[in-house]
Formats: sequence, C-alpha cells, structure tokens
Amino acid sequence: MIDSSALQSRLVFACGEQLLNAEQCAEGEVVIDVAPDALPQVVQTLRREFRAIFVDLFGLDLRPEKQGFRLTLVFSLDEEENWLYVHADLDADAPQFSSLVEALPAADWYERAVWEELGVTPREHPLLAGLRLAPDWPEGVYPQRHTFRWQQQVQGVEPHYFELAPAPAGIVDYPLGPVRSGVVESGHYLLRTAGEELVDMRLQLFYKHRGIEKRAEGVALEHLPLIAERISGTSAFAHSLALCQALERAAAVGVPPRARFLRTLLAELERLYNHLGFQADLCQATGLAVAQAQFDILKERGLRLNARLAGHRYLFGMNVPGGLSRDFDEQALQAVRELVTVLRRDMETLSRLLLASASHRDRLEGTGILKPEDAQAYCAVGPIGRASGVDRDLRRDHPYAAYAEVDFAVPVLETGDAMARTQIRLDETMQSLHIITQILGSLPGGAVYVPLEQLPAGKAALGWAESPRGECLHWLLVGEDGTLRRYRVRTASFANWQAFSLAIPGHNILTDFPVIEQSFGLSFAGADC
Amino acid sequence: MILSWLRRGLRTGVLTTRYPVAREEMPREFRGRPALDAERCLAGQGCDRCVQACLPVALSLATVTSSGRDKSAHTAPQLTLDYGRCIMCGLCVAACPADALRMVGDYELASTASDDLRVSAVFTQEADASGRDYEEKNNGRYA
Repeated sequence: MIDSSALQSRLVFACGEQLLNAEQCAEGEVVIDVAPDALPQVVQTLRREFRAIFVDLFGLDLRPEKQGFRLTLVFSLDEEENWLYVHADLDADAPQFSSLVEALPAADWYERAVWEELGVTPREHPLLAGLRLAPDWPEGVYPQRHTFRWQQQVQGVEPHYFELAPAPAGIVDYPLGPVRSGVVESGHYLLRTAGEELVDMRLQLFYKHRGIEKRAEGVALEHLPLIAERISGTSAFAHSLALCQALERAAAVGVPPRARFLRTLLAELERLYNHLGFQADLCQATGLAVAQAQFDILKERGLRLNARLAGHRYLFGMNVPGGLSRDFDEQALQAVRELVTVLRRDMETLSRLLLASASHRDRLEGTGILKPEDAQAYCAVGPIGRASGVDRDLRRDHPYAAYAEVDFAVPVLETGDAMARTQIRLDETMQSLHIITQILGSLPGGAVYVPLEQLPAGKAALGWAESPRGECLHWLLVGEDGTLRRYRVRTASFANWQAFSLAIPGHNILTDFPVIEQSFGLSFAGADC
Repeated sequence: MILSWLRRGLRTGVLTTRYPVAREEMPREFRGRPALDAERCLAGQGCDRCVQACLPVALSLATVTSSGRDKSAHTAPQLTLDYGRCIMCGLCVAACPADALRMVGDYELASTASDDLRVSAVFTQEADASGRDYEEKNNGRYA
C-alpha cells in the first residue's frame, strides 16, 4: 500500500483545478471532490494517469441533515492498493450530472439505477430507461430517497414494457425464459437469429428485485449478515464477509487471527463448491453426462462438509460482525483435510479427461468470445474478467482476511472464449485447494470473535471480498442510532451481465447459447439485490 | 475418450441415496427447524427476547382471551412460531435465557396449508389437572 499523501498530491497535480478537495478518509481509501460537470474529464484523467478501475457508482440522499444529493464513484487503484472515491455534490431541486457512458461504458446500468431509484438524471445518457424496479412502478417514487421506508406500500400503475421493433424479413426472434426448466432462476432472453447465426440479444433481468439495500436500513447490527447472505445464496459467505469487514472497519476493530484464517478457509470452500458446480453445469450443456455426474458428486461432498462445519450447506450464519459465530474442533478440520485429499486426486483425473474430451472442447473453443477490450470497457470482474485478460483479484490486489499470509497464483488468460472461462475455473479450483492446505497447516489458536461497540454515527466504510463469481463490494454509512443509514452493494454479477451481451452476436449459432450462458455462470439474484 | 468416462462412471457405482424411503441423516451441527419447549418458556413471565431477536417475525407474541377453570375469561400471552416465515438462523436459540428453544435436525417442512406451519403456546398462568400452565396448539406434526 502506498502512502496516501503522495497519492493525494499526484491526484491534485493530475486533475488540476477540477479537483475541489482531496483527503484520506480511511486507511487505504482516498476521497476527492469534483464539480458534477467536471466528472467525465476527471474520470478520463483517472483512467489514463492512474489506471483506475471503475467499480461502482451510486447516489446518496444527503437530506434532511444537509441539502441535495451526493454522487459517489468508486475506483480501485490496484497498483497503489488503494480505493478512490470521487464525490460530486448535486443540487437538491434539479439533481443531474453529465453522463459518463461515453468515457466509461460500464457506467451505463449504474447511471440508470441512480436515475430510477434516486431521481438523479444523467444528462445525455444514450438509453435512459428503468432497470431494476417492476414495470408497474409509478414515476416519481424513488426508493433511495430519505423519505421512503421499506414498509411503504406502493400503488402500481399501468405497466410499461420495453418493446423491440418487429424482426425484419428473414430474421427470427427466439424468446427464452423467463420461466425455464430445471432450477434456473428467472431471466428472459430474446435471441435474434439469421438462419443459425445469433445476430443480437436483448436481455431482460431483474425479476428478483428485493430492495435489499433499503431493507438493511435501521436493522440491528447482528441481523445485517442475515440480509447480506440472502443477496445470492451461492455467494452467501463472500457477501456476509464483505459486509462484516465493512462493519469492522467502521468500528475500527481487528478480528482475531484465528477468525481471519477460518474466514479464508470458508471463503475457499465456497469457491470450491461453486467451481465444481460450474463444471457440472457446463458438462450438462455440452451433453457430457458422466462428467456432469462426477463433478456433481464432488460438489455434493463440498456441500455436506459445509453442513458439518457451519450447520448450513451454503455456509449461512457463519459470519458475524466481529468474527465467526462458531469455532471448529480438530475433528471438523480433519474432515476438511480429507475432502481436500479426495478433491486433489479426483480433480487431476477429471481435468485431464475433460480437457481431452473432443466433444466438450469443440463446443467451448472459440465460443462466446468476450474480447479483452470489451472486458476492460465494461470492467468485467472475477473469472470472466480473468479469462479475458483482466488481471485482477481482490484476494491479491486488496488482501483481506488471511490472504496476505498465504501463497497462491491468479490464473489469467487472454482468449476470452468459453474454454478460457472453464480453464480459469479449473485452475482456480486447484489454487483453492492449495490455499486451504496452507491455512490448515498454519491455523493460529485463540478466539474467533471480538464484540463490536456501537458504530460511530456518520462513519462510512467499505468492505470487499472476491466471491466465486468475482469482486463484491459493500459500502455503508452509519446513522445516528448506530444502525445503517445507507447500504450499497455492488455484486460481481451486476458488473458482468453487461459484458455478457457482448459475447453473443457475431460468431455464435443458436445452439451455442446454452454453452455461453453456462460458461459465464452468472447469478440472476446476485445482479438484482 | 468415451470409454474412459464410461470406466470412470462404472467404477464410481451408484451413489444416489434412498431418500425419501430411507431418512437422510444430517450432521449434529445442522440447523433444521427451531423447536419450542413450552414447559421451559418464560413468555408467561413477560419474556420476549426471542421475539426481539427474530428478523423475519417468525416468532410473535399476542394476548389472547382464555377461559380458566372457574370459567371466567381472562387474558393470557400467546407465543407463536411460524415455520413459514422462519429462516433457521438460530438467533432465537442464542437469545433464549431458559433453553426453551433449540435447533433440531428436521428439515422436512413442506406443507399444503400455511396454518400447518404454525405452532403456538398459550400461557394460562394457572396449572391444569396435569400441572401444566400452558396450552400447546399445533397440528401434531411438531411434537
């Protein structure tokens, strides 16, 4: 981590008079204030001069204490191991700012969400339409404004649906979803085909919006992990970890070493069952039935171990603000060791067989290519980004829990096709086993929990974790009574769904679609908290 | 290659369990539903700690009118546990000062009527013939 005063002077020098203020707001976090109209230029400067990676954009209603709204952009400065917030204070009566989409394509959905949920207008946005709220949500009701309560009943209006212009002659629109077979969540794709070729796709997600950010406001501290765990069940541990780390940073409390190590262990167990399930689903898409069963068996072993350790197959209820809710005895750790041995042996064989299966490879190679420049423009994260040349991993770039104390590699590929996304996850599975072995070998003793005092009012904090699907960030602002005044969650899937659309048109046929969808392995609920 | 997979699959054999014909045993630590022991419960003495600890409002306290042995109507506290709202987090168990709640391994809660998922106890303040000062209401499934 570099000295933040040096970073501040570099920021002042690079941005010049567009910078109204620069200061360190927490360890490893720097905040700069800019005028709303200067945002596009400042963003360009930050990306060019600092290689700043855009990670989030959200708004905050400053009333009733102050006037107006605050727009916050969060960037990651990986080389400096710092987080950078860009604040722009907006007018109370006509809150607006210049849209950043041209300079930063990834900002598209974030700006639409701010417009829809807070009533802040991004001027010159190319397609300003609702994103996450229901189609019958009335205009002028903004859930992120301070007057809105989660218990509030909202009267629906005549729903407005987006309608695509009818397909020209020779082009066929193929609707898929939102209700589908199996246990797939709800999502609607409109696939546009010319003969066999996929020429375009329209994506309709957000059937699962639960208003989780709003629900968390005013909730007691010990209840908050219950809410974070339900953002996406298959990333429950990563989300509750990011939340708890944010709360611990707000309270300036360090968790005991044993809790940090065990959190790392559990986070890797979560990655393991996700990556094993991913391979099983992909084998199902390519019709490799035996391989699917083999990976599902291993995944089930992981889930059963989770139930043995945490009392819950998906690791709910483990993270609490201040550490973990329970410690593990030697017998439980022995069960982890045994599973690691089995997985190491089986994964080697299965990977070898899988990569030698021509029918599997044929479906994956050159399919659903997400080009590295697109992945960068849309700030793709996690295994999806790493398969398209985005060399980022929060475990390495912003180490948390005990990741600074273990040794592991971050696999990165440039090809960006379904094969690369598979290969990355196969490699990450082996790295997870490597991390768990190190944790088991150097697990410190002592307590796993330290109580948190009441959070200081007005304190803001960021927590982060590399979930199996990529980075997730939880930002929170503490209110007067020690509960949250504003809770903001940026999930990995929200970042990656935008990039998903770019991997479809141009080089794929209709029957490639299930393979592409599985190879991204995105979460619907995760994008729609 | 198909042969290699085939060999692998055959060597693994059948791992599918016989559920639901045979019960699937859960590890000791597994959190199924919370079970209420009305005999230990202190709701009759004004305790509401579990209700305070319950985020999804699966536990609730109400005041009901009950008729005692002298046939006169008087009010009594009623604690209701609704498995339809419960998220099996276990925070009520940790909050209970009298060990009246504990997590059991039972996870088979599917039901065709939401009423079946509610269990409750009315604390009558006076003991009946068998010495019990509470009345339990449930459909018999959650004894």
